Amino acid sequence: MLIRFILNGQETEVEAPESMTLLTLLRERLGLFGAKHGCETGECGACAILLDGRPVNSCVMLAAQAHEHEITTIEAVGEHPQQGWKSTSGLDPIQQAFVETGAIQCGYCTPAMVLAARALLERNRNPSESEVREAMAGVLCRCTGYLKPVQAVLRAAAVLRGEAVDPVTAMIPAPEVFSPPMDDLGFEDFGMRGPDFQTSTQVMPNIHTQPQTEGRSAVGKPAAKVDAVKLVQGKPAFTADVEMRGMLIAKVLHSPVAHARIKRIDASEARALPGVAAVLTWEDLPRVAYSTAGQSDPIPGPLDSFSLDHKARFVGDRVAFVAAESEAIAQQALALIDVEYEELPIILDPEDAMKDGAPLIHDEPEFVDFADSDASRNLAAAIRIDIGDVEKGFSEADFILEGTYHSPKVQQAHIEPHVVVTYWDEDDRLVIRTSTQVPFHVRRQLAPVLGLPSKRIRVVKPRIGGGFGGKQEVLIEDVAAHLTIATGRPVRFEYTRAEEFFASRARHPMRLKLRTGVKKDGTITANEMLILSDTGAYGCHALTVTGNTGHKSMALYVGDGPYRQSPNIRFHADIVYTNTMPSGAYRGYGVPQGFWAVERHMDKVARKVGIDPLEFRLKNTLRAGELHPFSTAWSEGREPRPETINTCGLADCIRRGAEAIGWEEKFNNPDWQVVPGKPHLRRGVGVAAVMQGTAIPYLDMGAATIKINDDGSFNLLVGATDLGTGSDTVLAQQAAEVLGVRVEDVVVYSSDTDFTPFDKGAYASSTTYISGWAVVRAAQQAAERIRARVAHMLSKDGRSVAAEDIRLAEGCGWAPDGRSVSLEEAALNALHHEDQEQIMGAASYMSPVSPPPFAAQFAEVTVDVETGQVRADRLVMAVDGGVIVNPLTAAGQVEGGMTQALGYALCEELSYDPKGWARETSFREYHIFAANEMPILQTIFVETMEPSHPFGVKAVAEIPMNGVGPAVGNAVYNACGADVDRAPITPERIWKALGGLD
Amino acid sequence: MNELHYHRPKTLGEALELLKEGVPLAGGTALVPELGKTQAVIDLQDLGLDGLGLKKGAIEAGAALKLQILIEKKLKIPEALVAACHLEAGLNLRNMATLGGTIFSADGRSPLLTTLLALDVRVEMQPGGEEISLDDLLERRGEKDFRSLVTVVRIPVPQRLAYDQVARAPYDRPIVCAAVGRWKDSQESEAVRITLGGFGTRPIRVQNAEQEIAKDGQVEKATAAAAKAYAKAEDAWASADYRGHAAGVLVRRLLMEVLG
Repeated sequence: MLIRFILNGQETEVEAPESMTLLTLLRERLGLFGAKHGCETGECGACAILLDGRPVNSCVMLAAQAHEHEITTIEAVGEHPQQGWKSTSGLDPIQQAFVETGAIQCGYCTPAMVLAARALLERNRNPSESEVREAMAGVLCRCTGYLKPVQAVLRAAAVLRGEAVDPVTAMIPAPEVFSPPMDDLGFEDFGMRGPDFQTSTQVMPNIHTQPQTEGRSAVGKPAAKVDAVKLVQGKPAFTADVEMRGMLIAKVLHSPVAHARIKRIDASEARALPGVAAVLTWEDLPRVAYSTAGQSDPIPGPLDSFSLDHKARFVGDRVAFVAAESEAIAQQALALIDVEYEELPIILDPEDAMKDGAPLIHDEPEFVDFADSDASRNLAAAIRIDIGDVEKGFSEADFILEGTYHSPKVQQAHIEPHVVVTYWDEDDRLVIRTSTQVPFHVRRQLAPVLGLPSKRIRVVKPRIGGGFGGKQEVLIEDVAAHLTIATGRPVRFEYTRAEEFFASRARHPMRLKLRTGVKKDGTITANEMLILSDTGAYGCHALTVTGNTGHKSMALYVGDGPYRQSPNIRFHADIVYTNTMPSGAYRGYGVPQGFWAVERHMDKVARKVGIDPLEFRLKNTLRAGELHPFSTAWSEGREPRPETINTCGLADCIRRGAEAIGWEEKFNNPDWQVVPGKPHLRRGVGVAAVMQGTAIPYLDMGAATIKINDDGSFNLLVGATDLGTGSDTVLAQQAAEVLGVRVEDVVVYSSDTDFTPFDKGAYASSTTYISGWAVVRAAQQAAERIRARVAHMLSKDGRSVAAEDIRLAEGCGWAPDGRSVSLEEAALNALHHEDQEQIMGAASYMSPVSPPPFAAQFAEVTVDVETGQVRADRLVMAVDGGVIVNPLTAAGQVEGGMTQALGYALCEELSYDPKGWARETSFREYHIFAANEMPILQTIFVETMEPSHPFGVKAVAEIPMNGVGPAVGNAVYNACGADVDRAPITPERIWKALGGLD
Repeated sequence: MNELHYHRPKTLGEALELLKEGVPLAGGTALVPELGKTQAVIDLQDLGLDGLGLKKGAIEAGAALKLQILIEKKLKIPEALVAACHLEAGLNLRNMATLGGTIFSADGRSPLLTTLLALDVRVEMQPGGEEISLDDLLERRGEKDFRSLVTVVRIPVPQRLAYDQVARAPYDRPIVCAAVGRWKDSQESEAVRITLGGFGTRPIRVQNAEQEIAKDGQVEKATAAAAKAYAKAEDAWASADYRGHAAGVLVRRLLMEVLG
């Protein structure tokens, strides 16, 4: 039908099928890519546009419904402030505030947030924080924790009111009245919703710096993200934001049964359907066993996957691929594929996986073992580590405490689904444009699967709309690639939200048994963890995720006195197959599971010996100068080598975090714990001490090249993959620090396997450290050439100066006597005037160490002791992540990580019915926190100067996932005495822990 | 391939005629994701069914009224109803979803439906102009040959209305929720309506609990009746034991609130 509307102020007519959604019309017919696809049910809000001035979700609206209405998309809001000779009005004040406050991480939901804010501020220039949160609640963000977006809107409101705003480095004026969110709605008595007030609008985190960082110009500064201006405008920066002539749409037929052989598959009817370009079944593809885990060579896990197989191992497993002219035709073709399944017995409970007579999930002869995997026992991996003399340690204990804990299967839930576009280029090389954390692994791992040498594959990684480990998987690239090979045409394949929930990857659920020996004085003498981990139908990341569970969470408690020098630690794990969606990598990589158990358990141990939980932790945890106890026992990469902890700010983190949350006044204080007038409510505080790693030693490698341009700017090319974390920005800051230029003078590009040097990818909390080291080295090479050039130029007048005496700062090379040459002059001299050369650097870095970040996580909760309902009121995290390169982006990592972890603590869980069907297939069932239900978030950085990095850097990205769950669990106990050992901590579990019906 | 037909009638008569071949399209938030094999949709947006006013002590709302408009304080409506709307969906969806569409599509875990049921809402149906209770409509809405259009939703304004829920997070869908309305009935005597949600395909009215209050005002007996009403309400989200217990707790609290 002919649809007429006013689009961004212009009368527009467009012909579209009556079944087409407004989102599809905008993106595919009108080329407006600012509205994003995040789901098909309207829950995520990434597709939001303004309809007659109000935010609505265009994925659940037919384009026809917009007929005769007015539509505003992000493309109508603001523009780049510098467009050569053309004068522009620049960014909208809302966009500007988003850029300045660090409100943008992956940027996928940013256009929707900006539009929601615009709709609010057009009606109300002076909103309260709760009104802002309510206005943003229609847009889910998995990165930020909403704090900085809310701050951005409040800042923009002030600008629009004509008020002067302070620089982001200062305090942003807070609104005069901070009212509870529900007050605005008029029901103050809704005691269990929303915190009493929200956090302050201070943008910069509380940061305690080291004296060595003084005088730095770029590192340690709150630089705006280098991709922020692009993302805030909704530019077509993501994988799916491309139009290609003749592009086909791919779909996958998923298995409806959890375990079956495909006795017969007939795709003839589907192939005959007009508009279908290809249908592929297992009969059409070469049978290549591989692993979908995006990891370095050799893959540390079994090769147990095939692009298509004659066996289905979970509901959602692949059965056939279709490529068609449209999504509707592809869907119709799926229904025409006739499959006869021979159903097999299934295993859903990992406890059943290794029982005698259990059905074998991997009985294929092509299965390739790794280490202790044993397909004949449904065992994907096994780990047996004993450090010290564990039995002797237990024999020396006064008490031995045991406990069993369960951690849930949870989903990464990045708002941008998995998405890939493939095509043959003019050189008949296969281009894979994909939303991945691991472009170089995609190329290497898919080469044999596709029957192509690596050199004929080019992987391009555009911006990524969040990954969190879910895109450390070579999950769907092969589908589109096979279909491009089959048809010769470009193919786009994008997961639906439901597919994300039933056919992608998740965190390994685990049963963790803990046993701890402790003396009366609180000294730990031995510590044991026995794990049963569920890898689902395939063994991707099975060994390494679970290895990290022990490597980090069981390394923290070494004991005290002589036990510090020789701790007694046992870590055994079996990682088994079940007929459920595979587990995989998820931010934290096994460590959140470990700390859920360890930190719940340690609170009980402290209780048993009657020691304050903070004191107990300070007494028994690892300290600087001590050996990382697991470093001699296990490594994710190569053979283990001893590693000493150089820096550990944990004690300071505990002290500052306790101060921030008011531990002294609250913990075990009955006067504070009761809520006046509400006898059914109890308040509590809890703590967890955690650590992580920074990269995988002797394995992870990153590289960078840098070159100077005529104007003294630089191109920095990195293989590192910024998945929204801001890694491009912190790499640019490190280069800028070395070269003495502004961050905006470093133009970063990442990543493309043809043009950027190798980087293992974005995982293991490595980019700022490993890739940063490579950038520093490359920049140092360029800097050396610049100094020589400047020295030469300055020496021409007879006043000789040595290259090593040239200082690079403020875009110039400076001689000790104050003379200077600008980098632009130096660049022109080098490129055009004399003794011409390209000033450049190229370097890589592999680390022999993995310096752990440490943190203390605090939580404050209110529990309804009659219903078990719990509300998180405040989360405080004090982090030792070494020197913080960018306080804004790092704080954003902590806030977003705590928010994800809060979901893991309270409401996120994937579960299956008795036939293996997923219970959660949308954000309606799988609840992630929205802007209007957040607790107060507070980040404190306690810097240490890590000597193994030139700027003292450690990691920040993953550690925020580790402590929230146990801190909330411990706070719940503190509030009401309920010990909940199975996450998430649901109302029913608390109620049962309090006695249930008894 | 089946192509969807989109109709946007200008009159109620046209719309009713089109009901023979398609289904009503209100905001689209529930229907569009589930279009599947739907042959035709009848978009109600041009029928003027989005009015909002007070009539004979009741809020009279057009079925196509957006939830967000309902709560934007043009009328003084009960705070608990506002709360239930907020809990039903985020702002973007409230800007799309309609009162009628929610009544037709929401399930037992709907805060709004649970609250509307406690308000003794009545709906006007076309063709025919028949007015039926929400309770009756919830029974009939799943019938295959149901071809009527809800045009008006009448929401009696009670003296007191209270809503509460138990969920894993503040805006998560409730595991258990309850609403209690209190007003004087036609004989000018006090009456309460008690509803439970958080389970099944629709919320339920707990008449046994209402009768306990009507009989002698004993909250504890009403609480026990509410608990009993959910004593078998078990699904993947909660056990029956827990739901029954929590239902009792919520109803007790709400009764204390509206009666106190």
